[in-house]
Amino acid sequence: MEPGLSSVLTAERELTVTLSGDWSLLAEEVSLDEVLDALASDSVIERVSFDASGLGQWDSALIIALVAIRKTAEEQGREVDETGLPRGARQLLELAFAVPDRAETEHREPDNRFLYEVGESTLSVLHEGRLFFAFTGRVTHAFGRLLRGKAAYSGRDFGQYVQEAGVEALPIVSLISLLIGMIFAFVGAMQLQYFGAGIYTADLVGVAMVREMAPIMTGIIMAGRTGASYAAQIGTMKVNEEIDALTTLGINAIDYLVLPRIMALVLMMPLLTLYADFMGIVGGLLVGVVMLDISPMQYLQQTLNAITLSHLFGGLFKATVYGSLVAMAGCQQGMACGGSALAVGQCTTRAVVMGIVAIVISASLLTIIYINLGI
Amino acid sequence: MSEPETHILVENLSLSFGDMLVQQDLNFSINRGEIFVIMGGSGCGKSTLMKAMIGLKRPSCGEVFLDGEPVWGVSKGEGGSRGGEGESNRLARKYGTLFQSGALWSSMTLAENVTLALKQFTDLSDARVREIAEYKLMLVGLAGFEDFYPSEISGGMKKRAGLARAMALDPEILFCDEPSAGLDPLSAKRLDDLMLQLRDSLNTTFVIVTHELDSIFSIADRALFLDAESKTQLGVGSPDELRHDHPSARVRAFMNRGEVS
Repeated sequence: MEPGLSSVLTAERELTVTLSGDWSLLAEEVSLDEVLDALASDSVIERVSFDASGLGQWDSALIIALVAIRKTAEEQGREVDETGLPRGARQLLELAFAVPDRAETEHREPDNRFLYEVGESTLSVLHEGRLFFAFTGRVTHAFGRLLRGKAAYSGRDFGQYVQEAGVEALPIVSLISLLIGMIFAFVGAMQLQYFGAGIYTADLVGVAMVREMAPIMTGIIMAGRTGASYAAQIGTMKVNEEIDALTTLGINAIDYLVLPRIMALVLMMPLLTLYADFMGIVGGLLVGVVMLDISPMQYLQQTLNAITLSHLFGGLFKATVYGSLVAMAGCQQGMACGGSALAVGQCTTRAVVMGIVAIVISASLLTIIYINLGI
Repeated sequence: MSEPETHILVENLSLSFGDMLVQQDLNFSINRGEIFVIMGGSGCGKSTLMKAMIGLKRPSCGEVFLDGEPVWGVSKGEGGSRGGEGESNRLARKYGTLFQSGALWSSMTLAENVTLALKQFTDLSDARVREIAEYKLMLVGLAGFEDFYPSEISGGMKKRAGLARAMALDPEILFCDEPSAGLDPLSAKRLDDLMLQLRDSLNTTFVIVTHELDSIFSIADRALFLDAESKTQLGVGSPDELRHDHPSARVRAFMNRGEVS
């Protein structure tokens, strides 16, 4: 039967609410407006009573309606007489009102949403920055301890991290740098052919890869691959209280977890970049041979003439810087992770974003410095 | 029996997260060889108090003394930077901690978990370290599981392995965060018995955070009740005293599951 609700104001200033039919969460909602409006506006009402003689089956839908009615009635200072309700409903209602609402649990809405958000995000950016610098300090401190031989440091873990950040990254680094080399060669060859200077494609690809592209692309790959994995590993350990367990045993988490990871990536980045240089040049060579009919020997000779040692070492130095930034961002976010599975996801995302932003900013700074130094 | 010796002293301790006060004015002492329970309703700050006692959560004021040495006065850095340097290592070796979920390091076998601290702080031979790991795991009924990874054993076994790790350096104090939470009644009972035996044979001081009344009544010598509403301790005493004679109705209600006698 359809659920229904009606109210009658009796002579004794009593509002009698009549409930009828089957009340179900799955059935259509019954409008309470009539009763609630009457309670809110009609000042004659002194008490509310219920008549449930026509009530059939009911579930939480009924209790939710009753809670709303009782809340409004009590706010207006009216008495609520529940004797007309079924026993089960009375008990559930009692249960619902057993613990008073806690004022502290209510979230306060700021007056100006926009200004509030701007302020909050500015403060959080500053806070993040401060945390990163504090972390840098702690890592530097830990390096000092390592050099004095006092750090709790595990050589076996270091080997493991070197393998993860090095050898296991080779396939993706090969693929990306080969394609980057080919794309550069394509674009370069199309333009340079107009001037009959197709051979200079080799210079373009070689210098671009060695100076800029190989370090940046490898850095970004490592941010998504290794930086994210550092953040997730350390963040999960934090959630499981594994970091606390290290600390209480007197083992410094920075020494034990962060140092070997940073060193592994800093060591592997220049090597991976060197490999990416090579793969990029191979990519350019393929395009040069197929599209421009340059002989492989000629292409390589041209490349060798174009690249200087300072290009090479400049690029490798950049790679080292990017590697340390990516590893720092990953570990810092992991160590700052909150206490839930959601937080691990967030810290991993932040580690990747932070790593890439750090790479781009430092790339610009380094390029300016190199130009001024004439490298 | 000789005069009880104070092992842990908590003075005027206040704990807070940012502006939110968790607990204030905590004052109590724990004797050597005692099983001391910290109890209270959910969210009242039991685990936070334990973290302050083991140097993981800096209190907003007050001090904790382990064996007369201040936990927070020694190192000025924040919690995470403790250890590594000589001074705090010495303190860290006085106590072991069993975390709620065991907190075993998942990339290491049980034997490696138990002996990591030994390897870091001592020059024992590998064979000797292995022997110690086997003995500690035997104590908690995990003989033969030395080369298992934490993911390969059950929750109850993880807790016991956590206890073995906490005992690796033969600490004088063992802190346990909800040791029996999530265990079936038999495993919980076994863990309780284990702690009683360890106390009786090694005179280890136990500080246990729990709200399992069964455990409290069967093993606790004394208990501390933290109240979430008044944000301070409401009573210290033996479980029976707290249950029958304590002036606060809230404490009596807690100890009697709400059925105030």
